[in-house]
Amino acid sequence: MTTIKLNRTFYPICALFLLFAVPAFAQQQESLTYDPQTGKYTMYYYSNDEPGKLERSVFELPNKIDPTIKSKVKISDTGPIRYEYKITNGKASKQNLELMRLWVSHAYVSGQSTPEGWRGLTVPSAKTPEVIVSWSYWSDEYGTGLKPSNSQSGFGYESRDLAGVAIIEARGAVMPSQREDYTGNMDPHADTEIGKQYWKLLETSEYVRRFAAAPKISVPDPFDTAVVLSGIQKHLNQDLVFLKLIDPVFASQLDRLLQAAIDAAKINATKAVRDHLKDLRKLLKKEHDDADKEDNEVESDPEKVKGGQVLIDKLAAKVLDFDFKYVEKRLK
Amino acid sequence: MILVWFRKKSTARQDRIGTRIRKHSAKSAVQTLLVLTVIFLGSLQSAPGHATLILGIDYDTTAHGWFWSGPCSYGNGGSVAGEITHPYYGFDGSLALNTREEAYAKMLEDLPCLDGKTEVYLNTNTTCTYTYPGNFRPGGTGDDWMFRTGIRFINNLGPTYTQEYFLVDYLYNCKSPTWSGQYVVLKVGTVAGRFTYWQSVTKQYFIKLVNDAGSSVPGALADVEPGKDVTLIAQVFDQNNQLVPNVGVRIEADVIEYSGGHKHPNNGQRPKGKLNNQDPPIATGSTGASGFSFTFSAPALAGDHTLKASCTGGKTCTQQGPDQVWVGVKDLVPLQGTPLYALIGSDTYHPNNHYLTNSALGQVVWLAQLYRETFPSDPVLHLNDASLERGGLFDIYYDYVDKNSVRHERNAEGWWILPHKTHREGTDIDIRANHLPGAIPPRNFRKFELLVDQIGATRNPSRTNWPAYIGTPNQHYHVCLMGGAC
Repeated sequence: MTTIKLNRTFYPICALFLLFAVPAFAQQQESLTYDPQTGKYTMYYYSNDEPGKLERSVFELPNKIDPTIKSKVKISDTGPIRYEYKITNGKASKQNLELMRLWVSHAYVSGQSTPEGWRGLTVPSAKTPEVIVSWSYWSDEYGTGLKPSNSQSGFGYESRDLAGVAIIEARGAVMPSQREDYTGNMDPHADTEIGKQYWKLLETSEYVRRFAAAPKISVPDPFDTAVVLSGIQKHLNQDLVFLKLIDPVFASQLDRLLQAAIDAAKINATKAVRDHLKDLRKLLKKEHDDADKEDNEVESDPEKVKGGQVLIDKLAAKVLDFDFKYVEKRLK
Repeated sequence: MILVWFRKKSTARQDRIGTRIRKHSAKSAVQTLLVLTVIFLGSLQSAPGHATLILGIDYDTTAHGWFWSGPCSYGNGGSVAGEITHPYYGFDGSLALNTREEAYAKMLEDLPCLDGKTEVYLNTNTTCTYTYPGNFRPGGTGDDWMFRTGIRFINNLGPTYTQEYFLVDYLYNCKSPTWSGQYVVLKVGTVAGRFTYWQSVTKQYFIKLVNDAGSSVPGALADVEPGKDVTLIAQVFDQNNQLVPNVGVRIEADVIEYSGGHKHPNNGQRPKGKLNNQDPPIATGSTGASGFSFTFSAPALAGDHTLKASCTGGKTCTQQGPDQVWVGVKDLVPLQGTPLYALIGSDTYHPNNHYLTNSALGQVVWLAQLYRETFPSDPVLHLNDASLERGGLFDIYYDYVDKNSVRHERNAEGWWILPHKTHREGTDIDIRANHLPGAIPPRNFRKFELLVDQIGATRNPSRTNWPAYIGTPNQHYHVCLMGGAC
């Protein structure tokens, strides 16, 4: 009897506890979760200012864009190499595209071209000995940018350096934040567990990354064939292989020819250098028939390399062909 | 000069000496005399007001002991045979230097209580090649001298029999001495050019702190970033710069007030570095064979620490060499005044609040220039706290009222609390964006944020379209100039 009485009292208490105490307890945990329904993240984290106070942040990442970037590289009339891009914010994009930026080995500040309504900047990178070239949709209004399905050309700049394949970062525009979605004064600090998660998320997912042709190979002044070819070789073996834009076996095939060209350049055997460069270009053309065509815009499609359809990405082939052609011209 | 005559006859000792003498000279009478010569040579070495008392043993191998008292005189020690009976104890011009080690070993054998105690024994560094003056004692040929050992009693004890007995007991009966004086080594000197004596020299110990990694900060023992560790070693040396093993040592760290850019008093609350993770920062141990290794863990705030090192176990050591640990972030540079921006937030407690790394400084200059180009009619960026001159924890000077309406005052409640969460490495800066003059107006927020992103920097909060501490008087943009986690 006593047991029954206890149970009768105990169960309702338990039920009340589960109803109120457990959810309350569950809320007192730091967490970062994604809701696929809303496409937003919700983060709970302890305040930096008031110990024990849990803050809430609901936010959307600016990565709901599907951009394609077409690159064009040419030698400008005035001498430097000109890089141009046309960007399309894909149909599947849910946000306007508001910013893109890339890190390059060199760019002339004065050579940057920017379409109407955008703001172009060329500034030295604080972290690397590179230059950041960027464009942002220059408006006072949050959420504005290149609309889905729309394209924009006219992004360009000039450089003394030869082309390689670089990563271009693009970001969508999110709608203005709501005050009730952000209760704190600041985001969690990076030395906290939740802070690490949060900043890692931003580092990996805040920008959408695509490949583009960009200055990556230094051209010394005075021109030195062996040095430039060594730069191309390094870019081939390190960057293109790492980015999975070339089949490793094909890369080693190109590498051997490049090494032969470098060795020839070191002893000023110009004809031998030229022959090796021709062989290199033939190999590229074998993979992409239009690799040697000038003035066409190229878009990277790394999936074809992954799928084994091609041995080298079209953009990478185009860029290398441009570089070899450039060296050939400088030999003359 | 003080003269003390002491003679001790020890049966055991006589047996040992007798054996030795028989072995080397059958003709010699087997007599052993221990002479304790106490020579007060205060005028030679003493510091003003202090006497240097030498208690020496003339370990005479001849028939009689004797003593002498100082320049030009000598005591009546009885007859002196004047012949060398045990040349391996003595040495003179006729004996090669290489007999010294042999003689030394023999003395250790005869005086087992001294075995291994080279500190109280004749120091092996003592030069033994001197020529003994022939007129030193009557009838002596100057060829039978020997080692002396001695122990120096520090001041004011005076030469008494008690003390002398201590020595004798120590040497011959293995009784532990009770004196508390320092050990001495003996060196050869001359008095008035007449005779040679053994002069006491206080055995000196020096404790030095060593940092194998070295420091790029001039004069500093070590430099370490706030919150990081550095391993240091304490070593004890003697006056000949020889490493002395197995010495007990004690290290204590203290922080120098007003250092590291904090121009406000410590008030006893300033966090100090730890030694071997101990707080209060005191580390003790033995130097072992090569030194006492310990870890200094820097606190979160920058500043200078002094490490006071001493010896324990009755040894007195003088600390030598660098003793300061420089805590901070190196190579921070101050933002200079320019029309591109305005510097704000400096106060008497943290007068230098605009220090940054070179790269970060370049970034903020770019940002300021771009902002000025973009909004030429608006005030330039008003740059508030970056980092202190050496980075590290940056406590903020402000009195505030908490949510319970309690007023808190820094000078009353202490510093070091409620610091900036960041601003410690010279990579971030606050930019005014509130209602105060010079602030970025809300109409410029978006473009300012785009400029931050375009130069590769980040801000906190990152995913809002407003500054930190929105709606408070402290509203500002917190910009991490190097990008990444902010």
